Amino acid sequence: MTKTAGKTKENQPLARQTMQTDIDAERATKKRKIGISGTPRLSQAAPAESSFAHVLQRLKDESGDVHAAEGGADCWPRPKAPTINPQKDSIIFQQIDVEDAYDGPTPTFRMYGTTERGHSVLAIVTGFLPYFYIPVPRGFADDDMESFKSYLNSIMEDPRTVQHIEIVKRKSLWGYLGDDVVPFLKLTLIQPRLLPKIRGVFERGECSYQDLFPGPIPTFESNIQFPLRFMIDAKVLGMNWIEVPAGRYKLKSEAEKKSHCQIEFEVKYDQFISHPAEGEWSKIAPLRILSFDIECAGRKGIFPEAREDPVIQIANMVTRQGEQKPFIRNVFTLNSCSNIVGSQVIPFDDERKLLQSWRDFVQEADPDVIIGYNIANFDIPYLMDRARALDVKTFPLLGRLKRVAAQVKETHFSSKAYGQRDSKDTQLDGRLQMDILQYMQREYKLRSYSLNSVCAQFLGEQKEDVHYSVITELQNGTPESRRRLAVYCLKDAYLPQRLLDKLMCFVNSIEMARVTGVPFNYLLSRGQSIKVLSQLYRKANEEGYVIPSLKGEGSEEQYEGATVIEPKKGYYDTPIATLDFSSLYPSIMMAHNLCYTTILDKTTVERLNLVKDVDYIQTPNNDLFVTKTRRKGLLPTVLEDLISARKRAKADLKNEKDPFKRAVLDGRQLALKISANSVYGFTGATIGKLPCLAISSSVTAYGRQMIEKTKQEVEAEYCISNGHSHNAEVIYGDTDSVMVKFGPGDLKQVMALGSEAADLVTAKFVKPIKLEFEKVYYPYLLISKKRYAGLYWTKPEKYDKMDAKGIETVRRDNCRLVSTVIETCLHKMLIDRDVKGAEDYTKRTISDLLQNKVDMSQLVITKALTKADYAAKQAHVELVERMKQRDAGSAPAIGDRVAYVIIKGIKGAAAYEKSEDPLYVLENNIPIDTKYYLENQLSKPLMRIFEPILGDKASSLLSGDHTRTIQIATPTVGGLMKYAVKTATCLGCKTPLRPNNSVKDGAVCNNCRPRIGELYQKQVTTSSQLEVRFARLWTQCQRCQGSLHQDVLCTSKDCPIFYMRKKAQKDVEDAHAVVERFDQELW
Amino acid sequence: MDIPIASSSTLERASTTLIERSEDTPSFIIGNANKSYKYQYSNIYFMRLQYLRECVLEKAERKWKNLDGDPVLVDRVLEVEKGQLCYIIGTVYMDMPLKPNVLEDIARDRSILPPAPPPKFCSEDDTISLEDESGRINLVGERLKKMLLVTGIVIGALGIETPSGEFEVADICLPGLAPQPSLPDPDPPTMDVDDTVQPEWVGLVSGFDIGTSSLSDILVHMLVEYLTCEGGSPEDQLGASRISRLIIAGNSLATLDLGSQVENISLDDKKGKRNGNEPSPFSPHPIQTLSGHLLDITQVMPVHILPGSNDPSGSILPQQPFPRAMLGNATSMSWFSCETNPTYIHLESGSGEDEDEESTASSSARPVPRKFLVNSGQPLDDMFKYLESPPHTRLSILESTLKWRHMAPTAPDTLWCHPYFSADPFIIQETPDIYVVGCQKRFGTRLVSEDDDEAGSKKCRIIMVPNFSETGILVLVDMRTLAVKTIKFMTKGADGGTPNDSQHHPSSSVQQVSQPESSLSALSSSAQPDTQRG
Repeated sequence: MTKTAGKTKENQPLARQTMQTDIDAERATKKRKIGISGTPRLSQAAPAESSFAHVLQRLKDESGDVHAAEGGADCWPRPKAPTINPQKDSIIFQQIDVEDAYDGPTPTFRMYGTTERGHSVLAIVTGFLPYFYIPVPRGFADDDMESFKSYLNSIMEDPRTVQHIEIVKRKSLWGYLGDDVVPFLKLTLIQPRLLPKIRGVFERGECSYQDLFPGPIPTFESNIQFPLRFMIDAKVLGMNWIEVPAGRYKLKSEAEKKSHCQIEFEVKYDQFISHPAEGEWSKIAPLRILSFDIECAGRKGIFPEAREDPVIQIANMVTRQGEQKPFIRNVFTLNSCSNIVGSQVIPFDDERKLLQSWRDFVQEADPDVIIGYNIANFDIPYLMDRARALDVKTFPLLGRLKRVAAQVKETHFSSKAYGQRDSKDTQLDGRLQMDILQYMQREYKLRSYSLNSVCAQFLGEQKEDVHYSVITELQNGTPESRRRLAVYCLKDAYLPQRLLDKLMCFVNSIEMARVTGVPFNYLLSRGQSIKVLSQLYRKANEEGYVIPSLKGEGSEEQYEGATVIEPKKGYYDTPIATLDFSSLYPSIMMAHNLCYTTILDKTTVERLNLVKDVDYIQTPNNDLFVTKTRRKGLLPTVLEDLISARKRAKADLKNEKDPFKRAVLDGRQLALKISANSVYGFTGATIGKLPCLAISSSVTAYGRQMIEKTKQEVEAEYCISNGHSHNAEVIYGDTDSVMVKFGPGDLKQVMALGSEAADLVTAKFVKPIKLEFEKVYYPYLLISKKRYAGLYWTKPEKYDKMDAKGIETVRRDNCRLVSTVIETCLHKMLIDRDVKGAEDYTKRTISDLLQNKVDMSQLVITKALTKADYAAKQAHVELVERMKQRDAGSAPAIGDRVAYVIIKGIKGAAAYEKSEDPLYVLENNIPIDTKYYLENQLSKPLMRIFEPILGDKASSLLSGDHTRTIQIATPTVGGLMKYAVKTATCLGCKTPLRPNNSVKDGAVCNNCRPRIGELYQKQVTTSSQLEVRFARLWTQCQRCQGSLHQDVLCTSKDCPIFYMRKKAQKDVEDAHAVVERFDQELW
Repeated sequence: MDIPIASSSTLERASTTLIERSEDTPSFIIGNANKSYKYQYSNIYFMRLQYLRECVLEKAERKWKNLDGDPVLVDRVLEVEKGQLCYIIGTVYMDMPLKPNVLEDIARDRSILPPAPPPKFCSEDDTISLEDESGRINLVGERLKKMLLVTGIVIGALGIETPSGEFEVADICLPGLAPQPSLPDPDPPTMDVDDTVQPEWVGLVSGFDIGTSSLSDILVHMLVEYLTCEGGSPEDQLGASRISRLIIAGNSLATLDLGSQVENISLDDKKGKRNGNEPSPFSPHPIQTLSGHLLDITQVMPVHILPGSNDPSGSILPQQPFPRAMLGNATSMSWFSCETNPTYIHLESGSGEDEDEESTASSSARPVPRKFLVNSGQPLDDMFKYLESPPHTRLSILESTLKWRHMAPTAPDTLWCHPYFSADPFIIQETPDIYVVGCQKRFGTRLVSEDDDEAGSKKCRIIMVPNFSETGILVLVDMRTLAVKTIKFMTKGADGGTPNDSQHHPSSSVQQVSQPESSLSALSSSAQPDTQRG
C-alpha cells in the first residue's frame, strides 16, 4: 500500500461537499457593481467573451463582499450578551441541566441553559431543602414537634440536621384504605446527604422517641434524587423553558461569577416560572452542539494508550440546533498540515499546546451539548489521561464552572431493558453529553455498532476506515499526509452530527425529557424506571399522595407473563388477518383501574363493606382493586394524560408544515407512546423503586384472558354454521395480537372480515380497550412462538413490506451468509411465492459453500477483543495469539474487532483452534471448514424456515446431490504442502497434463483438443468476469475515499467489499495465468 | 513483401507496408513486467496528471497571460485563496449518482434483478470537481455546464474560489493536440501531380457479429468477395484493388451466452454456471466461419484484427490480441496481425524504398507514413454516457479526446482497465494521422486540426466505423489525402427480388454503392462541415 517516495497522499476535504450554501439566491438580490476597467482581453473565441467577462466581474464583486473566515474561525464566541437591568428585564431561557451543588451552607441548584438568542445562562437556585415523610405515630401530639426535632438532631450529633418538622395531611399511594387523609410528619433536612442516615434510623427501628415508634417505621419519598425532587416540586421538566421575572433575581457581577456563562444570577426556588413544554414553549433554543473526534498515534500492534501515545488531531464541528450545517469546522493538528478548504487548520508543534488550545476552544465556543462516537469511553477519557500524562494542569477545566476540573468516573449501568454495561462518565458541568454510540446501542438492535456500519445502515454510505497503525504512518509523513488524516478526522467528527440529525436523536431525546420530566442526562445514563417514577411523583404529589420508599430487593418472585395461543406452525397461503389490541397494557390498566392507589385487601373490603363488582373488582389473578366510582387510580390518570397528549401531538403533527416543528412533534408523540408502554414494566420491575406484582400480574392475566376471549368470539362468530364460507381459525396469538385465518383467499374480503371482527370483539370489552384490525399477512410462515415471517398488507393493492420476527438476521455471532440466505429464501417464498425457487437457491448456496465459491466476506465472523484472559478458550482470542506469533505488528489489539473464519483443521479439533484471519486464508488458499458453516451456522435457521413448509423433507436440503461435489482449496502453506508438486490439469477433463498427452505448458490434453475453442472461450469469460470484478471493486473504493490520486487505505472489515476486492486481485491474476496457457496450444 | 495479385489478374493490388512504431505510440501488450494486479488505480491517475499537467500548463500560460487581473497559477488546488483570480490544473472527477455502484449491486435484494444500467450517467445531481495530489475542489459555474467534460481528463481551470469554498470557473484550458512529427506534406504543392497517383485505400470495418444472423453472414460474404475482387462490376473490382489492407476494429464474433453475465457481480446466480460440467451453448461454428473469411481475405491483402467488447477476449482495456492459433489457417500468413485493442498501426503508403524493387506507376509519389490509432469503441461508448446528447455528439467527443490527449479518460473510473503501475498508455503522446473507432451505430468522420494552431499543420482524420452487421458499411480511407469513402453492402432478399442481382448469390445483391450511398466525405480542406451519416 505504500507508494514511491515523492508521491503524496491526499483526500478530498469533506467540507467541500457539504458546505454548499445557496449562493445563487444570494446573488439574485445583489446589485452589480461598476465594472472593472476595460474588458479582459482574451485569446478566446468571440462568443464566449461576454459571458466570461461577466463571470469574472461577478466573482470579483462577490469576493469583495464576503470576509468569512475559513471554517468559521471568526465566530467561535457566542453573541455578545446584552446588558441586563435586574429590575426591568426578565430572563427567559431553556434549561438544559440541573445539578445540585454544595458550596455554601445550604444546598443550591445550578440550572444551566440558553436563551432564545443563544446566550448562556446559569441560574443558581437557592432555598430548596430535602425532606421526606413518616406517618404520624399514634399518640404524637402537636407539641411534640420541637422536642422530637431536638431528639433527632441529638442523635445525628448536629443541631441543624433537621431544620423543620410539620404535620401535613396526605394519603399513602399504596393501597386503598378509604378516602380519609392521614397526617404525616414532613421532616426537612439541611443536607441531602443526611437524609439516608436519618431515614435509616426509622427504618431500622432505632427511633426511641418517647416509645412512640415501635419497631421499623416506613418512610415516604425518602429515596428520590435530590435534583429530581427539586424539579418535581418546582415543576421543572427536563429541557423546558424557565422564566425569571424582573426583580426576582440577583444578577452576579463579572467578579462574582462562578461560571463562564454570560448571564449568571441567583434566584429563590419559588420565584421563577417553569413553563410546561407546550405550544409556544415547545421550541428549542439555538443550542450549540459540538461534535468532535480525536486521532492518536498508536505504536505498532498496540491500541493507543494515553500514557504513551500522543493525541495528534482533534477535529471539531459546531452546529446550532436547528441549522443544517456546522458553522465552526476546524481541526487541531500536531505538526504542520496542509490547507483544507472550508475548514480551519490549527497546527501545533507541541502536544501540550494543542491540548491547551483545544480546551480554550471549547471554552470559547462554549457548546451546550457535546456529541461524538464513543466519546464517553474513549475520546474524553483519553484526552483527560493524556493531559495528565503531559501535565497540562488546566486541561480538565472543560466545564462551565470556572474552578471545577472534570473527572473521569467509572460507572456501571444495569437495566433490564438495556442490559449491563460498564462505562466511563466525565461530568462537564453545564454541558450535556450524548455519545451516539451509546444512543445507538440503546435504541437500535444492530449487527455491528461500528461507526462504519452504522453509517452504512442509516446514512447509506460506507465510511473509509483507516486502521490506527496507518494513522501513525500518515502522521509521520508530510503535511499532505497529515492533511489526509485531518480530512478523515473531520469526517469522523461530522458523522455523529449527521446521525444525530438524521435519526433525530437530539430532538427525540429532548421531547422524552420533557414528557417524562427527567433531566436530559438521565436518558442515556439511567434506565426506564426513573422516567416512570418522575411522572408518578409529579402526579401523586399533585393529588396529595405520598409515595412509600420501598427497598427494591430483587425478589425471585415470578409472575406469569403474557401467554400465547400455541402456534399452529405452517406455511399459510391464504390471507391471515391480524387483530391487535392497541396499547393493550395501558388500556387494561385504565379499563380496570389498576393502580397502587386502588389495590385493596380483604380486611379493607370488610371494614368498609365494599360490594364486589360495584365497589371493587377481582382480577383474574385474584387481586382486588376498587372501581373508578370509589377512587380513580393514579396510574390510569397518568396513562390517560399520556395517551391524550399523544393524540394531540399527532393531530398537531398532521397540521404542522414547518419541518423543524414537525420533528419536535413527532419526537413528542413517540416519547409519549414509549412512556405509556413503560408504566406496566415499572410495576413489574422487582428491582425497581416501586414494584407491585399485584398490578403487573393482573395486567398480564387480563391480557391472557382477552386473547382467549378474542379467539372464542371470533371462532364462534365466523363459522359455516353462521353462514360464512369458512370456519375461522385462530392460528396464533401473542401478547397483544391474534392471527386469524378467516378462510377466504381474497385479500379484500379478509380485510373486511378483519375490521368487522375487530369491532365486534371491541364491543365486548370494557373501554378504552380496543381491538383493531391493522394488517393482513399473506402469505404467512409461522415457525414457532415469536418466530414468523410474512408479507405485510394494509391495503389490498400492494403489500407494504416483508415482516420477519425472531428470525436470524441480526445476530452478530452469525456470519453474513446466514442472514443473506435466510433473507433471500424468505423473499423468494413470500414475495415471489416460489418455494421451489427458495429450495433451489438454498441448494445452490450450499453447493457453492461446499465448493468454496462463497465470498469470504459472507463467512467472516467478528468479535470484539475485550480483554486478553478469557476463562474459556475462544476462537478469536486464540487467533490473536497465533497472529501475534506471525507478526506482532499487524495482530489485533485489545479493543479491536477480530474478524475470523473457521478453517479445516485436524480431525476433532475444537472450533476455537480452527479460527483464522480471513486475509491470511485468502493469501494462502487455506480451505474453509465448509462443514462447520453448514452444520453450525446454516442448518438450524434453514430448518426452521423450511420445516413448516416441507415437513420432514426439509432435511433433504442439507444432504443430497447438491452436496456431493466438494472442492477444497489447495493451501500453499503448512503440513505436507512443502512436498507437494503442482501439476497442471487439462481444462477439459482435469487429467493431469504430462509430456505424453499434451503440449508443453498447454491448456488441454490431446483428447480434449477438439474442444479447445470452447474451453478457451469459457476460460476467457471467467477471467473477464474477474477482471470486471476487480475493476469495479477498486474503483468503488476510490470513489468512496473521495480521491483518484491516492491509494485506497481503507481496511474496514465491515465493508461488504473488503475481502472481495482482496480476493479479486488474486483471482484475476490466477485466471490470466490459465488463459495464457492457450497461447502455447495447438488449435 | 510480395505484392498481392488479385484473382483478376489485370488488376494490381495497392500496397502499404507496416513500419516501426515510434516511441510515443506504445504497445498495449501487457508484458510480464506489467502483469500484476497488486497495484491500485491511483497510479494511472498520478502518471496521467504528471504528464498532461505540463502540456496544460504551457497552453494555459499562453492563453491567459494577457488577461486582466493577472491570473496566477496555483500549484495545488487546495492552496487556492478565496477571492483571488487564479488557475489550477488537475484531473476532472465527475460525481454522478447514476454511475453503477457495486455496493448497491451487492446490497440489493438478491432475488430482484438489478435494473438495467442507465443509458446515461448524467443527471441534475452531478457535481464536477478538480483534483490533484493535494485534494479536490468543486467546480461550479454556468460556463461549466456547456463544456464537454468527463472524468479523468486533465484540464486547467481559470476562476475564483467562492466564499463557500467552491471554484467558480470562468474558462478552461485543455492540453490540445499532441505534437505530430512533421510529415512530408503530401497534398497541396503536389496536387496536380497527384492526378496520376491513384488512391491507396485502407479498409476499415467492424462488428461482423458472426453468429448472430444469417443476414450478417451474407453481408460478410459479399465483403470478402468484393475485397478479393471476385464480385461486382469491373469498376468495383478496380476500386477494390486499390484497397491495400483491412483493419477489423472489433466485434467480429457475436456475444456468446457464456458472457452474458459479465457485469453481474452479485453473489448468487453465477452459481452453477461455471462448474465446468454442464453443457454450454458453445458452438465452434462462428469461429470457423470467421477463420474462413479471414483466410480468404489474407490471400489478397494484410489484415489487422482487434478484439472488441463482444469478442472472446478480456473485458478490460487494453484487450489483448486473440491467440493466433484460434483463427486457423489465416494466421499462418505473416501479414495477418492480431492486434490489441486499442492499438497503434504505423503504415507507409506506396513502397518507394521498400524491399519491393519493382517500381510501378504510383511509386512516383513519395511514400507517405501514416499513424493509425484504432480502438473498438468502448472508450467512446463509455464517455458518451457522461454527456447530454444533444448538444454533444459522439464525433465531438471523439474529437475532444485528441484535445485532451487522452483516448480513454474514463478508465479506470467507469471504463475498466488494467491497473498499470508506471504508465498511462492511453495518453495520446503523438497525434495520429488517422484515428479509427470501431463498433459504432453510425458512420461519421471529421478532419480535426487545432483551433489556434498557428502552423495549422496538425491534422487528424477521425473515423467512426459502424457495425458492419447492421449497416453493411466498409469505410475506406486514403493514405495520401486522408479522404474517406464508404461502401455499402446490402441484401435485397427482403424486398422481393430486384432485377439487377448478382450472379453469385441469387438471394442477395452485391450492391457496391460507392457513389450514391457513399461519397468522398471530406477532403483535406477542413472547412467542410462534419459528415455524419446514417
